[in-house]
Amino acid sequence: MKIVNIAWRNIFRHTRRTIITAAAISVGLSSMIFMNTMMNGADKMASRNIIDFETSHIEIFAEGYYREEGVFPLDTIIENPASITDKIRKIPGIKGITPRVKFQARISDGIDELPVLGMGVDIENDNGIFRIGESVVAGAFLQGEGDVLVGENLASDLGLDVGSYITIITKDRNGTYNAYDLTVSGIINTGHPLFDRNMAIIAITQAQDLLALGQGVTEICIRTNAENKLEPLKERISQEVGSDYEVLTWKEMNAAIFEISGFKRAGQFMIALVVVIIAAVGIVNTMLMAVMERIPEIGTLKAMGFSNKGIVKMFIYEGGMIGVFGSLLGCLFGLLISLYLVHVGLDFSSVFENMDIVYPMKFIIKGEIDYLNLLYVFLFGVFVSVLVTLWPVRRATRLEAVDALRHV
Amino acid sequence: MKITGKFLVCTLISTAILSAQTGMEILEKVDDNTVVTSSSYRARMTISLGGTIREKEFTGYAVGKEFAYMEFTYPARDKGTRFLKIGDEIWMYIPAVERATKIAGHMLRQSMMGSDFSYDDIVENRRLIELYDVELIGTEEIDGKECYVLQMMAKVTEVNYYSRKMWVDKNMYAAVKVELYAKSGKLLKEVSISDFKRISGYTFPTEIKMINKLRQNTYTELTLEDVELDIKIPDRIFTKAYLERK
Repeated sequence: MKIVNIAWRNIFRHTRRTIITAAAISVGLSSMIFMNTMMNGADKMASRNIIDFETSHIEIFAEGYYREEGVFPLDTIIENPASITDKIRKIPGIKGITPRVKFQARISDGIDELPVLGMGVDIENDNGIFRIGESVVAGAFLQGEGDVLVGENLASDLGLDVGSYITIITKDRNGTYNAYDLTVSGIINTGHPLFDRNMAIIAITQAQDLLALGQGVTEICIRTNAENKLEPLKERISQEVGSDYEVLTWKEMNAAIFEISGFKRAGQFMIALVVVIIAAVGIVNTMLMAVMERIPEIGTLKAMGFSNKGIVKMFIYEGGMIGVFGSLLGCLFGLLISLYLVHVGLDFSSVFENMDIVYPMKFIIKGEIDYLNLLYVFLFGVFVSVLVTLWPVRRATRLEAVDALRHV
Repeated sequence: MKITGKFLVCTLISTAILSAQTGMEILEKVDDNTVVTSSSYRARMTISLGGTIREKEFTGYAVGKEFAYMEFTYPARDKGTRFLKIGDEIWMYIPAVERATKIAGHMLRQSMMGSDFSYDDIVENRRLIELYDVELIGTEEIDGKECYVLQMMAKVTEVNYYSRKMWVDKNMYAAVKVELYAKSGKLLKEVSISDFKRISGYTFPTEIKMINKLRQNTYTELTLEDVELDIKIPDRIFTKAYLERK
């Protein structure tokens, strides 16, 4: 009889115990998969928000503009964006180019004044690169100068509706106050907190007027066809525009966010570790019991001429089988939860609903399944199961056949 | 008849020349009256916001257009909060933070300590004649005082307010009301000055009311006391070390 067959039979001698052990493994693994799906989903949402609304794939700035996040200087701008656009338009792989102007401003509804990030967008081109047009939930996209788009949360903070008047006030590049009365043409809901809470979007020509920029813009945004191969394209654009300009990918501009995401992953790893330890203790326990109660049996096997190697193999097969069984179950269960996350998502808004502080953000995270990770998790489950079997087995093989037989 | 006609034309021309000169002259005199070489004062700031009134007090020193220093003394919450202006930079020191932070760029237009004055407004001490082209557009009566009305347009690029309209008391040569406009022509702020003191040859405003026209139901009144002008102020006050002192 083959050792594998003996092992197979052995694990069904105590079906309930086997199932409980396998269940422990599967719970551990499925929670690992669940976490991974959530994290991927959150990261993907963040990335999409950044690309679709904020930065596109690659941006060009005047050298020295991009000093730190949240600072929008007007002294280092791209004075002649048309010449840059002409230079790079022919580069293969570029899907669309649009200029933008970002500036710090305040808006007032006549009663309250709030600080906002102002943004001038090219009405004709912006929607080919970004998705602000698609996120208008009331009213319409900008029709021309004098129109403003505001986020849903900002609108509710100031009590704005489509057609409301607001004043935007800022200092132009010379430090002179400038202000315009604007009509809210539309309200947007992007899911990007920056855009929904404190952004006022106006026509780029009006922004240039407001800030005395002439033809100047603060950045040129580029959307590409190949999202995953930005580096070569970035190099190409860099060469084309020369050293007076700085070319950055969306990842470089959001390094801080991905750093946080790195911390999240470290946290995720710690939780996974704890889960795995618990599952491992379960397997060790089962195997230890299996070994202890079967010491006389091991003695018999040895007396019949079974080698130590054979006995170790048998127990490893047993552990491995429970591991495979548990891991399969875990992956299946994890996949089911993940599919739910992908298609329905987790709605965190209810968590904040009953609080006094209204959390003004739609907080539905949709999952993103990493199938490769699923495979890793499976292999990991089997590996750990086998590994933790080794220790009790070593104890069993150390006994002499005679002592083992006498063991009660 | 001929003579009368000639006389009339002459008068008209001379009046035109005179008034053109007068616009500049008036502003010169206003500048002479308010732009001091140095000052020290105690100030009480009354901030009215939708019916609620908050009071704050601070002492201030200024030398020329380059240096200014302010330290809040009341209420307890703001006590020890200090501001230092050196050139274009303003530094703020909050006792709880124990470190000076720079207020730069766009932050300068923010309201100072919740008032209708921006940081820009409070430390301004430049001769307006250097910044604006001025035109005398008429006379009006404000609170029973005969005033010249001056229309001012920026002649240099680096100004806070692109244009101003100023009502100047005919007797005192001091502004009693100023409207501050954005480049687009929108009225941003209105300043009225209701009291002056004669100090060291200046007619110095001591009761100033600032209304932010972009917000409703708010105004800030600034009352200056113990004003001393053109005095010697120790240089060490305008240093970061003094700002950050314990």
